Amino acid sequence: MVFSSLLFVYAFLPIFLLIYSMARGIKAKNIVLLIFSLIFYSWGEPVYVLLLLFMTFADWIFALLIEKCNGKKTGRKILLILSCIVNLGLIGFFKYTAFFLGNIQSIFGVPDVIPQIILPIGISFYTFQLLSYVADVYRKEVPAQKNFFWLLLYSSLFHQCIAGPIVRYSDVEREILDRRVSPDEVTKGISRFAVGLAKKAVIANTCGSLSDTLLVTDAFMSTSANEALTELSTRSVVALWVGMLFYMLQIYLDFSAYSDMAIGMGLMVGFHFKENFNYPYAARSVTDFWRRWHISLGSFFRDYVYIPLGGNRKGTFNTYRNILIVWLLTGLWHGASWNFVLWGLFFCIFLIVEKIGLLKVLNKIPGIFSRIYLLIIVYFGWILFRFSNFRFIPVILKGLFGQNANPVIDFETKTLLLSNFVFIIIAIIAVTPLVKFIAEKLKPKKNNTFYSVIYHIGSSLAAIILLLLSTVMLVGDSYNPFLYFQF
Amino acid sequence: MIYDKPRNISFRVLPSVNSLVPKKKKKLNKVSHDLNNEPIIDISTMPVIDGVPMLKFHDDPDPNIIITEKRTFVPEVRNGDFNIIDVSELPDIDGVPILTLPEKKVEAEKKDGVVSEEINNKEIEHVEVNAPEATALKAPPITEKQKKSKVQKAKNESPKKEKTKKERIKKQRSPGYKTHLFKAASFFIMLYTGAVVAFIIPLRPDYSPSEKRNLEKFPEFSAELLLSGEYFSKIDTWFSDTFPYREFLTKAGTQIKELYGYNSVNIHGDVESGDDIPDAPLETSPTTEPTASNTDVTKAPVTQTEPKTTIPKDEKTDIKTQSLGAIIVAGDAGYEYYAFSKDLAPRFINSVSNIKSSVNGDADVYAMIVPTSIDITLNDNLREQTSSADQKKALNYFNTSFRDVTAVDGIYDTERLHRKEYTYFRTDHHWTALGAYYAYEQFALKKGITPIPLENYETKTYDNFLGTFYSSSGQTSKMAENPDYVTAYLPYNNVNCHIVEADGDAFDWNVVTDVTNYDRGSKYLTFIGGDNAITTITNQDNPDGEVCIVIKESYGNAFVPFLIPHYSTIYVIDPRHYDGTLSEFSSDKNIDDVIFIANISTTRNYIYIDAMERLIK
Repeated sequence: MVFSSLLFVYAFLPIFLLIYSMARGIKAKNIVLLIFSLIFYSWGEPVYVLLLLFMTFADWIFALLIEKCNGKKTGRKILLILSCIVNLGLIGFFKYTAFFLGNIQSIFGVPDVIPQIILPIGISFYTFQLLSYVADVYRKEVPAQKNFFWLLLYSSLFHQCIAGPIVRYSDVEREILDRRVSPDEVTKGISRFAVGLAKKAVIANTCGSLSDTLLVTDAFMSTSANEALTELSTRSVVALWVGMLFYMLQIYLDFSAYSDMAIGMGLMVGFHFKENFNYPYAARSVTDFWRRWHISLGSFFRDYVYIPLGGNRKGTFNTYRNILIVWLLTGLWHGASWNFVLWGLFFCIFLIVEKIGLLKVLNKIPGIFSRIYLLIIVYFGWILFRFSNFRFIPVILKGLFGQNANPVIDFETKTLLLSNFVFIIIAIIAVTPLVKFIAEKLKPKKNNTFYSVIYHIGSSLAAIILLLLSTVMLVGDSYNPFLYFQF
Repeated sequence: MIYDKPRNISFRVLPSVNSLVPKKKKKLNKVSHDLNNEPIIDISTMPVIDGVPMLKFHDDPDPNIIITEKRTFVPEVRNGDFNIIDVSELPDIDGVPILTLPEKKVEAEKKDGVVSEEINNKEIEHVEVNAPEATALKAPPITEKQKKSKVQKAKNESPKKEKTKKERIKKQRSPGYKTHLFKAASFFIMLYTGAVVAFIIPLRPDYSPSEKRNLEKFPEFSAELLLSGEYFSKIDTWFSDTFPYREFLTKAGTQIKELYGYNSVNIHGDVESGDDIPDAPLETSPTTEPTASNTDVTKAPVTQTEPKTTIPKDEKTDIKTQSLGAIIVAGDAGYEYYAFSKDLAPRFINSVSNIKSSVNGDADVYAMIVPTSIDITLNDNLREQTSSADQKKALNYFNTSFRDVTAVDGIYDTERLHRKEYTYFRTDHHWTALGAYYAYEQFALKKGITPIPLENYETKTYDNFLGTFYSSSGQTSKMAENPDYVTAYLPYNNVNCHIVEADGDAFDWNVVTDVTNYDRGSKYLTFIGGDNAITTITNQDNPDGEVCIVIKESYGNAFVPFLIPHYSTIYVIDPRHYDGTLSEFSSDKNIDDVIFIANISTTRNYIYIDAMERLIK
């Protein structure tokens, strides 16, 4: 089940909220939350829910043992390493076996058959959550959770279990057993959820289908790569540029919409998840971009890889080595394929260049230039991200610069642009902080004025309209791809 | 208040606080209740600073800020983990101190340790909201016991006191409370209305007339489906596919999308670039592979070239509809793109060329490949700009490549000649009976017979036809404003029409059926009962005439009625529905002619070609 499905919006969520609000006391509420989270996960993975249970159980034991070993440094360390082996071993097995064996096969010719392992939904997200929990217990930053079910609640919480954000245990530890909701937060949560839903159902999905129309679909690329390649090589220059632009819009809107919905639903029941995106396309440098894009992942790698490796404190060489390791891993986290590794390295190069001195320049020159610089880099980064088959990359790069002997623009692209120009403007506005800025400006300064009443009625209506609009778009809209299953 | 010696004091705590003050004494000041159920805190256990007892709050999970009606206290951290507040500063009502605890902490305060004025204000808002009615929404609700105690209190208190209390509560939930309640309530009313409607199962449609398909059914349970995860995903599909008011909602969706930009011309679906049409006819040898092409990249299995083509079986109207490729919609008319497929074309040509050898006896075979509207009725200016392949060139390739076949090759030109007439539907991918008549004239020319003039026929017209272009363009409003109509030319002979369906069911039918009451997407079914396995039409006025077989797809339906005067029996075969072979079928029949008729898109439809190859085997 995904948040942006009618089944979730009109069945799962209302039933959950109803039962949850009827439950009395935090324990009962948690039990309701846990049961619904497990149902939510099992809906997508009726078998691999056992994997989630097992990993949580293992880490629950490890954390308790680590805490028990208080004082014995080596004992604690060994337990931490064991926990890493279990967690990383499992994610490695499920996510990277085929990739690893595929590479071995292409070099050595063995093995003959590469097993097809199904990637359990959300494994990349909940494994990292559990890892951060064990590491935090090891560092004595949080006490180990005594109750297995409350730890399970943390790892399986349906808000963030399958598509992030990667919530730290320390951030929700207190709220697992003590959280309160106030009407103002509920309304905040409602608005956030409605915005996220509309972002996904109305804008991101349309961006995705337009991008597929202008480029080639994933399904087409994977079922018949040769035809897809020919198809791509016939696309006009503008079709490719706009197609990639739609992809760039889609991937942010899609991903941040899930985070919005998670944060919104968290607020409805008293959880406060940290922001996961902060208008990344408005960044002024690659360094800035990665502080704004998928923040929970970036900070995970910072806190659990980069800093433990020594961060920037052990000399220039080690600093760059650490950066390289972090970005190889970041790339690989996004998918078991070389293009993702390359994507990570691509950003790594710019980060290092910026660290050497470019960053100072970027911060000095007018914002418009540094923003254009950033957008160009990110734009080409998404090309690496989108085409997992390397054969497509030279074709699209040549096409973008008119080297495939195609016209600059064709009739079909022209038509598509004409019949969607309003939508394109809306989608571009949606990735900028403009709407937020206007909403802040409109906020009434005084209560109880005529204007404030109008404002509040308006904002209530906005949430309802977004819900209805999303419903209309989701009904019969078979096009509802879920990009993050592969992560 | 002066506290000279430790004693019990009673705190009056605003209702919501009750749930906040932990009943377990562990960390906090011990809280018990007096007879009126007011929390009592034993100040003797409190730390005393300069002789004043201090109320302790553990920093976790209790709040940092104590709010009273009069002012906000920021507790000082004086004792390690505990926040301490000077009780003597608490306001009192009738000598009873009052304290209210806020709902939650602002993340920033804890970190910074400094509470700015702004945050204080924010917090006060929280408390204002924190009245009992508000809590009923989401916050921990008042327990039965508390309600009782309130009632009890009300009884005990004098009217005057009651009034002050009411005023106080009223004052405390001024504007913020109401607006939040309004916002949340309006959203949840909407959400729950949607949820209730979604669960009224009779409201759920099981068939979509505009898409001409049965909607997803609720899956039957099986352990296998469950474990594969398919059971749940099918429920998911069922839920959204059969959502109540689906037709209305999808239409509303299209109308919203029409606001996305300037729509005089629209393209729906993904346009395929297709392959180059060869200049020279196909080499003669039924087994030869497709002629080598100049592109070196494409060498993939043939069956994968058309992922979009499917034939959903439609139970209600018992026809199979094939989903279209990309269509261009200009105003109120749609046109299907055509792309040449160099992999499928030779297979198509070979199966048509092999018809003659499959038929028992010495039959003449006629091949009629019909162009589609994009090359005929679409205005030239737009047509030139689209990337749709040149059908004249493609038809020329097919007609010159066929072997043992008389190609009726004048169809393209005659349709172009009559392009201003109503020869193709605007909202559907079929041609009209009039369009079929002009092709029939070309056939008559090749066969050497005189075509029956149109004036000899009586006509019947069925209004309000919105076909496949209408549905696959997402029900564009311009088409809905100007629907098509279907005109049928009624046979003047005494005829009998007998249909055998794919599943073996057989019945008599009409050559032209009254479709007035059919849904507006199905009016083309008026001709020979739509697509069926075998349709046998016998002309009782011409018992000694010739016998023919028509192998066709749906374009043939509008064409077949014109053949009636020239034959005694016409067998109509749709290869997609008939699973026998042509040689079997024709073995006991004395066939004079075989007419193959299909529109040009069929030449790239692997499902049809598979079926043809099975028939001609």
